[in-house]
Amino acid sequence: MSVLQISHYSKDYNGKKAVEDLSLDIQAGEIYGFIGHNGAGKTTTIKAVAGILPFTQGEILVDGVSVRQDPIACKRKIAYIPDNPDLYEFLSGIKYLNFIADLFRVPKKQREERIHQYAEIFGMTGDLGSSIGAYSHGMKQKLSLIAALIHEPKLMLLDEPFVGLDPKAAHDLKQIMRRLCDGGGAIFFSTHVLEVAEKLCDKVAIIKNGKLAASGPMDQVRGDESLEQVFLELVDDERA
Amino acid sequence: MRELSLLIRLRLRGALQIKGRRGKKIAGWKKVLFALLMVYLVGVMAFLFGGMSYALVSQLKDLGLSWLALALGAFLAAALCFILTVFSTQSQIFQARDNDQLLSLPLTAGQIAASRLLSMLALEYLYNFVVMIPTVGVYCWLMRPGWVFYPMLLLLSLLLPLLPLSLAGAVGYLFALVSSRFARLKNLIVILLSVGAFCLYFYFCMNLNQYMFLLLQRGESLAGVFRKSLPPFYHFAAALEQGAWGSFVICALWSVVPAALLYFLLAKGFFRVGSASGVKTPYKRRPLRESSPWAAVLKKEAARLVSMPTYLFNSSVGAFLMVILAAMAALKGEGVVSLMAMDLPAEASAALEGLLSQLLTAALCFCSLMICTTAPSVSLEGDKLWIMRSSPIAPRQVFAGKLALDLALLFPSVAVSAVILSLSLPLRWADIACLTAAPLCFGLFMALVGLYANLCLPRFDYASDTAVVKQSASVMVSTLGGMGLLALFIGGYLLLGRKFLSYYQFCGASCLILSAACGLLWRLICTDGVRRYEEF
Repeated sequence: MSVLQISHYSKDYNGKKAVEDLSLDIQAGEIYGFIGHNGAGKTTTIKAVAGILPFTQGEILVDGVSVRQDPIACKRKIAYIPDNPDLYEFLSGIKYLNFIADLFRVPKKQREERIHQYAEIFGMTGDLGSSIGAYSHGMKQKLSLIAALIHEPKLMLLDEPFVGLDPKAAHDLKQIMRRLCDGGGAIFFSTHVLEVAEKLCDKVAIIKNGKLAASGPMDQVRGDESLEQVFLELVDDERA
Repeated sequence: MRELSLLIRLRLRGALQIKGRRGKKIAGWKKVLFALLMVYLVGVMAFLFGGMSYALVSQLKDLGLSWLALALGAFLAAALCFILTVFSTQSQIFQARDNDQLLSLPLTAGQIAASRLLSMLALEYLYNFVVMIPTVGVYCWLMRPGWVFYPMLLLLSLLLPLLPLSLAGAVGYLFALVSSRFARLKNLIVILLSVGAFCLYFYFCMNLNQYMFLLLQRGESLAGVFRKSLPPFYHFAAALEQGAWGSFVICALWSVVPAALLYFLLAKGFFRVGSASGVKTPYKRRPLRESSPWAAVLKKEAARLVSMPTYLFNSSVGAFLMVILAAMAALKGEGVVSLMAMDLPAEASAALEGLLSQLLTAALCFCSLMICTTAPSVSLEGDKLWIMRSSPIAPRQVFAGKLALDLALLFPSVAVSAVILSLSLPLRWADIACLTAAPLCFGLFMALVGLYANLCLPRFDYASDTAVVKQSASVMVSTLGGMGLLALFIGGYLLLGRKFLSYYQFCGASCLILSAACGLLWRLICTDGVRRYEEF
């Protein structure tokens, strides 16, 4: 069953194509990696799926619902974490999480349970009373992960999720990602860390200058080579 | 020198530029609108300070004390520079966001310090000229000073703003120090200081008539007090009026020495302030409260408002003003009319007697336009806009939350003022209805104007929140537009309305027009505003 279906998606900025005719299909239970060079169109695509960026052409369906036609219903099923988690620094960690739970209408009992469950996992419980302005980059990243998990999303969109996380938090995140997919969800994430993508992802898509260069199951895309080699060959093809 | 000039240009560009989202160039008509607003603002200031200078010089020149007008003008200009700079020293100098970035570049601490001080000085020149050009212009017209006056004036006008800059730097440093030591009380301290300064200013304005009277009655002795207690301003005036080079040097030293000391201390790193961001509060698990999405937005907006003293003060000053005005009216009774008309000529002041209800309604409407939390509220989302945009909340609910904060300030202040006024003054029920309904309609309309203006003129690429709260185009459009609209209503009533309608009928019709305009504006926000919001 498709959790995310991107069909012929295109986006241009002032007439310049940022992403062109991109199609992907992400099934329930899949961790889908999205790799590409800087400026290839990864963030633009993820933001369009998250309903943040209007797009020029194509269709994006989240769990069968069109992002263009019913963005609010789609957003209820999605959790999005940007590459740089800028959060409201005037709120304390717990107030921010409660605010997000309010926006997603998470019932009181569930929000309390989930907040404290994930705060324990990421070692953030003691810091929830502090203002977010006092947090380090990694702590903000962890807080935005907890916020993303409060409403048990069907689809997680993560833009460079491992940047700034300590090794334990990165390990815990990988386990949570796997658990979410085992529960019927799906994850679509961008990364520059190809070793992580290779170990973690069931499928991978490589984007180059806004166009899909390769996609499919990891073993199929990689063949007998490493993901790094495949990626570099694709980039070198372009340069040549 | 090249690095210094680059840094200054960068800082000034950040302070003065008006840009759209993602650095898009702003449309020509918006630039024209902005220029017109600036001309209007400068015109108002010129009228105020030119008028004051005219009154003082024409009265004092026979007593041989015309220099007092120059000294007072210089003092007011310095006070304005100080007030407008002191709250930004923290964000511009001591806890600037780009501190770490600049220190990592091949720049000396002296270059960084100089660039910050010089770019703040450039803004001070702007504020200073707004006061000094009309003041000195009127003085020159009435006194016809000799040629030495002009080169001295030019040099001293360039030097004197260094004094408020140094003072603002010193106070700003103390402020940053206190904030970093008592981080949890930081906002409370800033708010108390701001309210204190505001009350002092208000008290000064209320007693201005008395001071002017005293100045004319006891000019000689007050001149002596001025000479002893505010020497830089006395020597500024003495140098200009008498062409005294001794006074010129003393005034120059008063300006240059503190600024040089501030630069030296900044360059040597004596003013390094620990960031307040390291403060941690232990977490105690408590039951969480559930809210609807728009109420959650309201709570978040309220938390932002109280966490930013500059935002709180700039956008909520009308609420304080309204209650103070009502309390003052309660204390002074019907004598409040002559107090409100203190700056008007005697005939105009006499004509206003008997217009108590009308004047109070106009004053409350003026206060209500000074309550406008919505005008910078979209811009203040800044880099955090993704949170609302990726959450399952419709844009109109986001706008409703932002609007609700404004109304949460407007409604209680109007209600408290109306209760105070109705209990303390001989007002009829119709009067009370007018002075409740008109400020409410006017305040609601201005809140909607502020919100729509910010959706049309957002500013997301700012280095300091203060720039958005104080200098952004949407704030200026809503504040100055509100003043223009109020003037239109008052002028409309005085020139036309009262010939055909009674005051109560005019007030009722105005409220109906404003209510209809509110409905239309909300509709516009929910259509065009939503479209703009989704394109950010």
